[in-house]
Amino acid sequence: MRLQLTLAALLSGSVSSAEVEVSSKVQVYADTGQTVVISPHVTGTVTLPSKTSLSATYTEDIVSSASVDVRTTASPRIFDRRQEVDFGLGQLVGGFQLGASYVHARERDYLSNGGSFSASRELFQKNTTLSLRAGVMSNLVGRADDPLFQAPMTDWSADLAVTQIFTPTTIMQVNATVARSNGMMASPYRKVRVPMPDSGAGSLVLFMPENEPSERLRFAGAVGLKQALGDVVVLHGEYRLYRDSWSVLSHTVDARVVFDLSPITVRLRYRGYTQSRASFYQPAYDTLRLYLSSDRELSAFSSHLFGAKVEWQPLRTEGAGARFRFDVKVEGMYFRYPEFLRLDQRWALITQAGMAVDF
Amino acid sequence: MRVFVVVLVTALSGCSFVSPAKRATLSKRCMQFQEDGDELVLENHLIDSREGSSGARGARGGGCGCN
Repeated sequence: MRLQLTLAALLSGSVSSAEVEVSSKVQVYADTGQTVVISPHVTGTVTLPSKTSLSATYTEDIVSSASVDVRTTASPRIFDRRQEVDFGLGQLVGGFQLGASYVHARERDYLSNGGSFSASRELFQKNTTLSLRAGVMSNLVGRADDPLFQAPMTDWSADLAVTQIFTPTTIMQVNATVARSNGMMASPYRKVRVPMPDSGAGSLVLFMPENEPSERLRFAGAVGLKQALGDVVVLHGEYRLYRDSWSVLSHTVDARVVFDLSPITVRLRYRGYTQSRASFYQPAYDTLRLYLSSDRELSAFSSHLFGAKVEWQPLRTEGAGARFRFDVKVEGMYFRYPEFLRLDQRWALITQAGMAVDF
Repeated sequence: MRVFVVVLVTALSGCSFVSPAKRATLSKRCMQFQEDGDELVLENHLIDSREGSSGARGARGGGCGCN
């Protein structure tokens, strides 16, 4: 009993002097392909005086879809739910910020468990920050209509980030990722239409299950720059290059203008994306091949995103102790698929509302 | 990858120290690269499942998100 009281006193003492931040968002994605995804998300972080931080995050995706992928499986509409929990632990040790995390996600036909370790260090009088991260995610792919179907898929990844201050108003970040995926990456639901040449009995069309290579190596690098112009305007530009062993090559540009009208911040944004197709993807197959895919995300396509975000952070009032932040975001996204015969374009609307409080 | 190493080395070799007293602008929230971690997590999951590429974007999550 005495031990319990001592522990309770220690914990309450630590927590009372700890920094606590709680934040949440709700995102709604709706597109002209008849898919709606509602995603509530909440995070809590406690940082103790010993520079130890603990965090927990819960995210859910509530999905209703009658997309072209769903309709080709003869289902008029599907309803699905994905739940994800993340736990993180951080500690400052001898100038190194060390971190570890665990993530668990599940849906009706998909199970993921993974973890990562990270380390970051500030150098050159805190003008340079170097961060490394390595992680693994073990997935089990299922099929809703077949409880016996189970296929593993594992992702390994390593990330490097270098952030560099150039001037009192200029900062740059370079990111690089190397990742390897092994296992089932094709959809267990999608079928690929393959017309057979004259078989003697009239035209014959086969609907084959997707089959994709079981290994994929990915490389991505990005460079971003932020430049403040006076006290009000911040420009943000970013470019990302991606290449993988399936011959997908992509370019991404992200441009933002932020107006700091304290306590309100307004952000305008454009993001452009283009990619080439995977080596084995074809808009239409004329014969059976080892690898077959009808995944439009493996075709050559482009997308454009335009949006605005408004953030309101009222000044902390004397004695109130807590600081609040509220934000609202609206973005429109346009996809063009010149190599996907069943859908040549798609519009999407992404809306998000969030709040955070720290005390 | 070679291009990024060149960019990195060039950037680091040409920089001068900015003292903490001159970082008022840099300390603003809108000057941080991951200024809203929650937004980043939600966006990465949404975009990763709708594009054929991933990586060099920060946060990661689980699940397929393949709708």
